[in-house]
Amino acid sequence: MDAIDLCYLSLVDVAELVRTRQVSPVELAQAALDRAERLQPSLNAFIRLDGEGLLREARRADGEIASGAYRGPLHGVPISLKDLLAVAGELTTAGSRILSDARPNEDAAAWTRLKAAGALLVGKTNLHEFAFGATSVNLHYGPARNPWDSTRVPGGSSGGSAASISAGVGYASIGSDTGGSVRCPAALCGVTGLKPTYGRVSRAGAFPLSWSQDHVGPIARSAWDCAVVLDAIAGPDPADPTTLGVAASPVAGTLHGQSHGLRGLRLGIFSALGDEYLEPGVRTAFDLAVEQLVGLGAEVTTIEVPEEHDLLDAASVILMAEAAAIHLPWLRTRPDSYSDEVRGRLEAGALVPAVDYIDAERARRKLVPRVLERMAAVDAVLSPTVPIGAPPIESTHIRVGDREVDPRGVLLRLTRFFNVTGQPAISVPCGFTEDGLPVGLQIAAQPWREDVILRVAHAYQRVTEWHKHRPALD
Amino acid sequence: MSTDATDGVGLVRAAMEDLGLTVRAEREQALAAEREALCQQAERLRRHLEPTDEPGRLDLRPPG
Repeated sequence: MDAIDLCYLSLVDVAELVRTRQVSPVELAQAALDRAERLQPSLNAFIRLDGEGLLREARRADGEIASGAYRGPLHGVPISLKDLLAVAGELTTAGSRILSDARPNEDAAAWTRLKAAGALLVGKTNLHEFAFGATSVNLHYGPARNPWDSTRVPGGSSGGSAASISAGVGYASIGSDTGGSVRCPAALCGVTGLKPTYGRVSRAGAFPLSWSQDHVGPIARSAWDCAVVLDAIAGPDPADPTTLGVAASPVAGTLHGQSHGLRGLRLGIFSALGDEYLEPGVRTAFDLAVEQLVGLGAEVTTIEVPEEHDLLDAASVILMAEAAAIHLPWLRTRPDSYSDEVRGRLEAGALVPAVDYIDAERARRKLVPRVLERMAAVDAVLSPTVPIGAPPIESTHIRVGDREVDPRGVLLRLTRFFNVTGQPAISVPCGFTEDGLPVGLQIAAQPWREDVILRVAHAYQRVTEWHKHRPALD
Repeated sequence: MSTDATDGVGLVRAAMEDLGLTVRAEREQALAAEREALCQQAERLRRHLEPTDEPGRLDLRPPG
């Protein structure tokens, strides 16, 4: 196996090679580091690489495994973190100039758990400034670029995370998702991204954008890989009260040996999502994916959710007001340290009247249970993840059918809904547009039913090859 | 509010000043439009609300 093939193995496969000592953590770390350094000038996926720390920890993992102290499937496996997840004593910029010198005192909860599982940190990935945007065009650190076409965005805000996995650097990356920031870049880069249920994974140590809609989740090469990472990072954490009271329920083991079929499973096409602004190639790929799920035995219907637009209204008001509250002190003292784009959004959020924010929360609390009740008619719902393929960097207008649209307003259109409802949702690759750009299939389910979306995604990936395609980088 | 807030731009200017934020003249029109759009979104939500509907943090955890 050459170094590139090694870099593109799934996490599950590489873990088995590590466990059986057919490959060493040092080999994996060196291969990931070499590849990251080689591709950094063209993709700018990382804000910081830590080769020295990576190799030091890889040698430590080597020794532990050699002595029989194997910790599990993440032991000795290189991963990356979006650079808004704190690593104690290390720079954690959130993609901003304001935090360009910030060194948090404590690790983010997700990283604490991954470290305990033996994972190795390749580096911190590029993102949209303060995660407040969907393109990862970052004024301060340069734009992250899409491995499938480096003139295009990787999506965002976890753009560097998705680009790195798509480019074969590391076996998983941890992102955050407030309106689709894990799923959107996963879709545009041809990889798999999972947003868990709100409260499943601790948000402690993840720089916030909107407290009530932020989620932390993995991006990897397959649903099974995402499940392995989810098992490691999920569970109660006193530092994030939303995680308390729900026991962790490991899911990766349930996928192993799972029957290929989906017989008996009811899937609902989320009809309200996706008709507007849907690029023809995305529709074709989505329709084909639905046919394949039917072929696996799933029963597919459509599901109507009249509350969709109202909940998206609530999502906008809540996001803007919460983000402005987080940033108000810096908006006062360091307004010129923001990009114009992010500063403008934060200023608009600062102008949301208190009563509007309260009413958006009241509406959310009232409407989410209704939506969940409607969706209980099926086991999971389906939609495209992003209505378009990756747009060109800095584009403000693209043509979709006979419409001119601003891609920045379209990228998160189909994902935001599941942030305001808090439901788990995953994006898996399901084809390519006419331009050869990856397309994602989004699968969502009831709260706490990550097992359902992972079962569907895993069954789909057992009979398709979309998640195994590689961009032409070598 | 510290200045005349009779129109959207005046309201934005006054609110920004009250919040201690620097007002960028070239952004006032856009901010007024964005604020108006957000207010309309909130207004649409009110048709669902009864006086007894309370706000609350999203909590999906099962009872108990």
